[in-house]
Amino acid sequence: MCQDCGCIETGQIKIEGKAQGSTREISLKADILAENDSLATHNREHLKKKDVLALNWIGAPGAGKTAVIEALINQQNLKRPLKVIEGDQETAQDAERIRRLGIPALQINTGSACHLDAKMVHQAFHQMDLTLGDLLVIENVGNMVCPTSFDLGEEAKVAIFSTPEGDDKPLKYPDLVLCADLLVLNKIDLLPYLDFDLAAFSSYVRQLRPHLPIISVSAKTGEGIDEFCTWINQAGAKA
Amino acid sequence: MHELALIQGIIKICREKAKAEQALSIKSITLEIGEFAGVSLPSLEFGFEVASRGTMAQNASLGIEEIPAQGECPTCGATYQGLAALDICPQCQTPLTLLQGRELRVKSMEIEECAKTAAV
Repeated sequence: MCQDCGCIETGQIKIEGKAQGSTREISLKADILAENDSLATHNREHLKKKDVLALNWIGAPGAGKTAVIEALINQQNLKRPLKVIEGDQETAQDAERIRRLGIPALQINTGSACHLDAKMVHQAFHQMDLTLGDLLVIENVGNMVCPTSFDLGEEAKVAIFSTPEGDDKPLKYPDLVLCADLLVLNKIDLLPYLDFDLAAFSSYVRQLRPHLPIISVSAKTGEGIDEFCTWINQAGAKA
Repeated sequence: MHELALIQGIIKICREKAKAEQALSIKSITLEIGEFAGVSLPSLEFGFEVASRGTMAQNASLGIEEIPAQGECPTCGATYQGLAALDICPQCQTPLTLLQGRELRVKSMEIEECAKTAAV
């Protein structure tokens, strides 16, 4: 007797192969980043309602993203009141630097994640007091690759490069150039000490984006910061 | 971009639909990847091979259709392809609107279902 169902086994049978099914095609048209994109859209609507100009700053670790924000604050020429969201794996050091200059800053620590996403920024909005007409600078985690794929709900992406990274950086990291609305080249005060060809750098950017605006700055000396300020103010007027 | 994280998202989308359709297995998955989606296709293929083990998508073939970039001038309506789609309109100097080229989509999948279900 079969121990599983109690039937009487009546001799040997042979089973070969497996039951064949039929195949069917199913159309999905599902966005892989749908979850992030829908939150990003929600963020964008929230920002628009409050007339907040949000900029997503993306650049390598050490490019000087935080230093450029400090230089903009010290220039005292920004038309909109500034608020900052800082993204790093750990510590609140960058947010503290901004707060020391009297500007509200919120720090997001991503732990192991190498980029900010729309969910993190959405949660940050709940902890901030965004007021009508603000300028919100979201300084992304130092990384030239992953942040380019995650829409946060920003109005524009600012790519920050720096001279010690080398003039061929735009060719080596094209995704950042391809998605940027503005390219800022920082640390131009170091040009006399580096083999950095400014003309070559510009031509590499132009190969990818013939009309992408490039602003050269030095967060250290303040050179070019006013031009960057003007770009931000104009973006703020158009938004 | 983390191709492995993308693949996990793809497998999740497909598994959920396959379960809802009472599929026996997933035979193939077709993706639509935009020209400027910023995804490494070899990394995607490798990641799929690894992440699909032990799931309904194991042994499924992965097809990738690239969506070419296309930008349109909001002023004159002219369209441009390739890198030009990310630039400004040469006639009007207006920044182009990108109509396509950054997609990351699961277009379709082929499932195996049992013959009895198919006959109904």
